[in-house]
Amino acid sequence: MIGLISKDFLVLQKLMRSQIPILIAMTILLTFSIGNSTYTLAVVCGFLLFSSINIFYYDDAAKWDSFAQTFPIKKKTIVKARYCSSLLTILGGILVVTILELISKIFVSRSGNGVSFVPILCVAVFLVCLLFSILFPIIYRFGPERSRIILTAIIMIPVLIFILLGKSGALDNLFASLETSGIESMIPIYCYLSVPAGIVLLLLSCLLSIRIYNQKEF
Amino acid sequence: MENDLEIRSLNKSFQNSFALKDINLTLPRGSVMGFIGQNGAGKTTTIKCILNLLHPDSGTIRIFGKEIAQNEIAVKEKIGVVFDECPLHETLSAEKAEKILSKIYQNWDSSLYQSYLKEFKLPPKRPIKEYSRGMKMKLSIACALAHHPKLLILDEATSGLDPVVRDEILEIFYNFIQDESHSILMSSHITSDLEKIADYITFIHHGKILFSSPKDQILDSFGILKCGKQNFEMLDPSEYISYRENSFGYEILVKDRYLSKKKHPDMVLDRVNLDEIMVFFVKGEK
Repeated sequence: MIGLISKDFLVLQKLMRSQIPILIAMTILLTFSIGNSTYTLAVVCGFLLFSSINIFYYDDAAKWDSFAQTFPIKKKTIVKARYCSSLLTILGGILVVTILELISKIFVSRSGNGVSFVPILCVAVFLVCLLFSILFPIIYRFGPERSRIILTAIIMIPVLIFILLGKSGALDNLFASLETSGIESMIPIYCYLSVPAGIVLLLLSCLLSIRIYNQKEF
Repeated sequence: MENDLEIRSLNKSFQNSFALKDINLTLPRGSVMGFIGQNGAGKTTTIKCILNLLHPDSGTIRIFGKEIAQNEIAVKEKIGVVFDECPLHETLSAEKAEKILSKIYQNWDSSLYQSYLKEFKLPPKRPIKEYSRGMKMKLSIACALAHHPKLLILDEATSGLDPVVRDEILEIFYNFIQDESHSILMSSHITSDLEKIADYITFIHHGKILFSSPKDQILDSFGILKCGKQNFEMLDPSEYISYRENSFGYEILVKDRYLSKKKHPDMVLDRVNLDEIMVFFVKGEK
């Protein structure tokens, strides 16, 4: 499994080398211009999704999966390795964002009613785990090329619904209550539970992907 | 003699059409089996079934005497596979490929891998995308050999390469087979390569094995009978496999050229190569 995980990171290395400086520059700009590093989470989440899903495309282009089937490893190990590397990517993202938050705390003065970093981070991690949990089995089932449209729909449909609801005024009450009570009070204690929930989702998704992959022919 | 590969009554279908029908194949230890057939005949499907990339509908596949389905990991530790394209990511290098594969194979021999890179003149740090096709195939071969496999499975490994590189690659396979505990199953369109290296030839057509015999026996016994229309019409169809008509007359593929020579001493009887046998089986009339 270590070989397969290291493969994912070695393949991503070039992408990371070119993307990470841009990512860091963007996050620093966002952090220092807005005075809050939580906005950088959206950028980092996007990057995590982009890089983890890209691996499937790279593997497909190289016909890696057929080659991996010739290795002395079980099929489920191949799937587990992909989930592990994605989890490690998430951990890397958490590390980057936390470091930026700590740095920004030193240099940028905060307004009193700012959003707490940790609960937002937990929710962001949950969302990334949720998306991975949905996307990975779909990619394993249909292949990266065929699942491209499904993936776009999965990401875009909630965004479109949110925009449409916002335009129709359905979210006005929510925004008004946020303004009056402050976002802090809207974050319940189970925000913190979203991280273990995300990991459980990933585990269930991994089991489903293993099932799909075992039946797959190459 | 022990067999490194035994396939018995292998069947595989895709969407109700047969891809492989009752495949039987035996590769004795220490030998090279050339696996020939036109595009879509079932060569790659057979190889994918051997490697458990495809799930056969029925039949048994034994490698080193063990059923692959039940002993996949132990068996695959002793197999080296080379596909028609280098399956390593273009951004990786030979050095990075080693970092990955050395953690996958228990018997990975780093010094052997390095010696192959040196022998094949492959720059270890250069990205694979900068390699020529020949270099990529050599890297695939280095990866396939560096864990001391006993059986090498090659699927069109020499296709698309120039004669010089093909010759170099055949030399590698020739050296590999010098160890009598090693075997090679080699599918190829380039029958001249197989004529150089193979001990046995298996010919697959429309998912069925048409023959699987020692190469020398095939090249010695098959022959092409050349005659005019009158002589051709006198022939009993059971005497030949297929025929082709051209502007000069008839060319007839016979399975036992010694018998044919005896029966028709006045007719021209030529020796035949694997290419011609393939063409007669596929395009010839009966």
